[in-house]
Amino acid sequence: MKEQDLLEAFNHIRNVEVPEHIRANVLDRIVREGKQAVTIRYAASWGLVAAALLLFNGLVLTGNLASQNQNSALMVMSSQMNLNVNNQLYHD
Amino acid sequence: MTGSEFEEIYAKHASMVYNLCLNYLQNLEDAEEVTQDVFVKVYASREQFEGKSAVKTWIYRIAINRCLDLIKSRSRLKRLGNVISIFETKAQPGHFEHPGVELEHKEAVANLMKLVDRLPEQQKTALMLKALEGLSLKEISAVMEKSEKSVESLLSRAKENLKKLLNPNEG
Repeated sequence: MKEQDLLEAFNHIRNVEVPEHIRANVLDRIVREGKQAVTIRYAASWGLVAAALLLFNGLVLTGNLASQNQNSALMVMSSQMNLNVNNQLYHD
Repeated sequence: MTGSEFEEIYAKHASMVYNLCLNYLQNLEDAEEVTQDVFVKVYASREQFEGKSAVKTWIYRIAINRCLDLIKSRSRLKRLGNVISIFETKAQPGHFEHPGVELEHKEAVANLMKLVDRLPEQQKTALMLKALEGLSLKEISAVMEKSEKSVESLLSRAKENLKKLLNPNEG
């Protein structure tokens, strides 16, 4: 095929009509994907709420444990002090 | 963008998008699929359209990118298909299917398209927008986001490469 014939071939390509069903499919997909996006947003916001609750619970639990540890430490300290005082009294 | 505005955009540009996809992909099924994708994308990203370019330019850009994405994913599938033959049921690039070409010219156009497909991506896009879509240099440069000089150079390289592909024995 010569170059001229080759480029001439471009002229044999005609525009065609768009099949009618494409419009319906586009509208259908827009509606469907819109619904999906709403569902995803809904699920994501519930996910965020759940994550926040878990985090809050975790913080409360950590706080409780820390205060328990603090209490135990205080108890150990005070019994140690008692022991020291008793020892002191005994020696005196 | 309201529903009726979108309908208007569809009515005005659907033919352009469908025919561009047909020319680019040379397959009916793929062209229909990509045309749908393009308008779904147009609707989904309507908020991001800043109006810096014309709507037509914006839609051309989306259509070309979607065609290129499909070609890339098809070539990945084809590579995979060499290993797993199940993927070979889809039309291959060599399979020319275009309802806008009369039977008597089908072979000539198919040969031309086979050569055009072998051009680098950007040269192919510039050539198709010029020769098939009839866009001006200014319009092509807006669609491809390149200077007019770059588009001119892409077009001349595309023609040179086509000549070389046509006559591989010459210089």
